[in-house]
Amino acid sequence: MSTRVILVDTNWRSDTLANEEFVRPIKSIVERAGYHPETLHFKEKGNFDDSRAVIICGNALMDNYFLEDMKKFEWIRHCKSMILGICAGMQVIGSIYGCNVRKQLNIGMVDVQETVKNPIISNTQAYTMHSNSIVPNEEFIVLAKSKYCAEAIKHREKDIYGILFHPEVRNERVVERFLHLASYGENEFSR
Amino acid sequence: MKLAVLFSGGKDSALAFYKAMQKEEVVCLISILSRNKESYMFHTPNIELTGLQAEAIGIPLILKETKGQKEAELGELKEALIEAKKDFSIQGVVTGAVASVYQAERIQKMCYEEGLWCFNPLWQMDQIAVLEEVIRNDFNAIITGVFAYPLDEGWLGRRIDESVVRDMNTLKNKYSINPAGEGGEIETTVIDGPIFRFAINIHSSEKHFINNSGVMTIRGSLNEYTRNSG
Repeated sequence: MSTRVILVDTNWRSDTLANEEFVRPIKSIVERAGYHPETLHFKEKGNFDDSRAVIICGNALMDNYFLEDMKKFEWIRHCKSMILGICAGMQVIGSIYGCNVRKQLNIGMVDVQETVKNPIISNTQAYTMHSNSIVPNEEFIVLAKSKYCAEAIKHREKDIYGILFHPEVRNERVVERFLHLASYGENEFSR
Repeated sequence: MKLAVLFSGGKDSALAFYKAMQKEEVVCLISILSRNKESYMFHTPNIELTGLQAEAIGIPLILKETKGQKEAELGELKEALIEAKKDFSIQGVVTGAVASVYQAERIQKMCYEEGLWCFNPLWQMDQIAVLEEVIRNDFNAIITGVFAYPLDEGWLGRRIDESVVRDMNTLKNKYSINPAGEGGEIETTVIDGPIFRFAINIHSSEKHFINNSGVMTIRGSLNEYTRNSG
């Protein structure tokens, strides 16, 4: 079974100072879970075949460059691997499937409530740091929300998940559950 | 991108500075001198040394003093950011935050309000990994504050090296201490390293230790040798 997990860096260019803050912690979680992460900048052409999963990472609060270059994310529609978008990654996923991206500034811990029973997220306190959120359309199920917005979503038909909060702060389990789901499927998943 | 480093004089902000200078242009330091020994936001031992550290690094310093009353401390930081934008055209700020959501949240908000990028290159780093990077990059970081049992007066003045890492690991396993000190267990003062133009010689030091808590205040001057020419 492939243990290759691709981390998509959504920062404004590759190898930035922000990479240390938004990609490295996710890379550490993936490695500790026993997988082999490879980082790819969103502007690079990537080979997602034979990957166990893809995680689209978050980026700095001031960074909206990625939203101006959504063509670079069209691969999401055809990707055979399971995808998790984190913060900016969730905004990308929503945007690719036609959701509105709206201004929403949240910085700090929020209460996140599960709205639909699902394998990766339950009630939790989560660290948010975003200046946008998405308004999920009919293509998505809202898995969890805060009093501000949808905090976790899943595409109705595809294995594509999004979380708006940053799991590397006190919610590493969400990434671990996602990876477990990608490896073993929902039937094998025990909570 | 022109950046200011929020500088406490300790190992975390020094390591963050080093990471920042490899990717962007660091143009000044910002230090907030808190008279409140239990400042919620800003670290306190030897913060007055930051002027000498800035000189040793060879970089301008914006220094603000605060009485250190919880949220009011942020007023001085805001002033410093505005001054740094005006005088040094900074576009962003770098901090040495590792795990403190309290600090990170407040600085992120303030930077966003001022239209500044905020970078935290040590964010969520493994505690031992922070110490090991400090050692690997040849920083001379001295322990100048201990604030948790069983760290005693004997720790004050020790340079962060492999023996400190070993001893910290032992205590971590036994007492749940945070080896990087971001739980407030230790504070350090950096007197040399790859960001420095000149090392700092320590002339004198004084230890004050009482009730499982102590600081070492140091007085120093610039060493004459030039670490990095040009």
